[in-house]
Amino acid sequence: MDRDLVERARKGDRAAFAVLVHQVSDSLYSVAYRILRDTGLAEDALQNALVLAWRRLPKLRDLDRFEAWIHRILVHACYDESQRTRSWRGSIIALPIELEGVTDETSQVADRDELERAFRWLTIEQRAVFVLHHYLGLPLVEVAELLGIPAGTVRSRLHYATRSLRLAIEAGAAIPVSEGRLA
Amino acid sequence: MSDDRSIERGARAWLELGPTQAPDHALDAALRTIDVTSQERDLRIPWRFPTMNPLARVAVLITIAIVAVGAGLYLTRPDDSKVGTQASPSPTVDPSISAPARLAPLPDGTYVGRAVKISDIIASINSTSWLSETDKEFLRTAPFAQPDKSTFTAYFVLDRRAYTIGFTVDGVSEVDSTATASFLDEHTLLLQQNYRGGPLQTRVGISVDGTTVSVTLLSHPTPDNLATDRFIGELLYGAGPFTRRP
Repeated sequence: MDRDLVERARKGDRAAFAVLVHQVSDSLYSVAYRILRDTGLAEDALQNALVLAWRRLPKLRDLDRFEAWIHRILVHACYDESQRTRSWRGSIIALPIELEGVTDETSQVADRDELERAFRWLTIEQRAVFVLHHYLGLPLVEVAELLGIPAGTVRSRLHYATRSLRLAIEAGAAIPVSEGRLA
Repeated sequence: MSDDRSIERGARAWLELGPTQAPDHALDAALRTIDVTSQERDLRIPWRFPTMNPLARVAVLITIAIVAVGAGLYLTRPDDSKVGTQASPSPTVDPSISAPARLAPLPDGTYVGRAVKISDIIASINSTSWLSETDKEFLRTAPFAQPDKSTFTAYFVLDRRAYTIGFTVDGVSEVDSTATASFLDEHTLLLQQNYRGGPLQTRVGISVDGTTVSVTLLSHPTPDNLATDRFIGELLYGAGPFTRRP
């Protein structure tokens, strides 16, 4: 990340911030989509995060931490989106998938469907940790620093997320998405 | 796909699927909003006076010191207006009114706890009744509960208001968390973290005895209210007394 661009944006240079936006937006959107599992919600989270980052940029002390800082803002924007949409996204019923006699390719698709459904059982906080660690490849200590929580909490969330995924997959395909969970 | 490793492998491959480019219309909308949005001003006092020459800087610091001493003398002066107009006050001291707290009872530095045997920690995990079997299963995966390791040492670092707590296992260090520290009084340290837009506050009791410091968790809210977090918190803070290292 260009430190000079961050410094100029911090002083109010909108053009510099626009360049930064184009540098980080793909990563931010990818993370938002994987946490929220919905393109519309991910777009909203991205837009809110970018606007908030612009407003708060003068308060950023360590310019070299811009990328981690804006990812943190994005994760919190994802939390907000999940709160906003929680009430009307609790009634989806996952349909069972017939797994007998399927080819490898079909089996992989079935695995993906299983994961998609199982992932919806996770809390938004568990999803965030899971995505930052397994998708962005951040070590747990960096995830903790990014989210502003203890490393032990990150480790707990990851453990319980993995366990929940395993239990949800083992429980079979016909799992109703529980009330109050995300889409 | 049943064990945790294969779940993780499958999940990593699955996470790679899906969009990886932010839609242009979303970026355009954000940038349009930013065009009409002003930034929040940073109102914090700078740590340095970059444009001031050394003499001017000294003058400012002396002025601040004089004003501070003057204000202190003014605020602690005897109240003359009550002389001779009221009965003498009772000689007993109201226990609810304490002397002004001496702030920052701990100097900056690294404070290192006593060495704890890893085998004792594992035994503690196994015998703690308020941990569920799942909690114990999780804690046994932590670095401080590996049977092939021998020694655990907790530490905390105070650097101005920056606070870090962590531990080392056989000399390998891991940061557990960071926070902003302030002393509520000479026996209470308040640690603040920002979490989901609000403060997450932990209060830590401090007892200084010569060169060692004992710390106690007075309140320890955790983001998920997990028993495992409570265990780790008690493990870290219970590994005292702590000794300051230069």
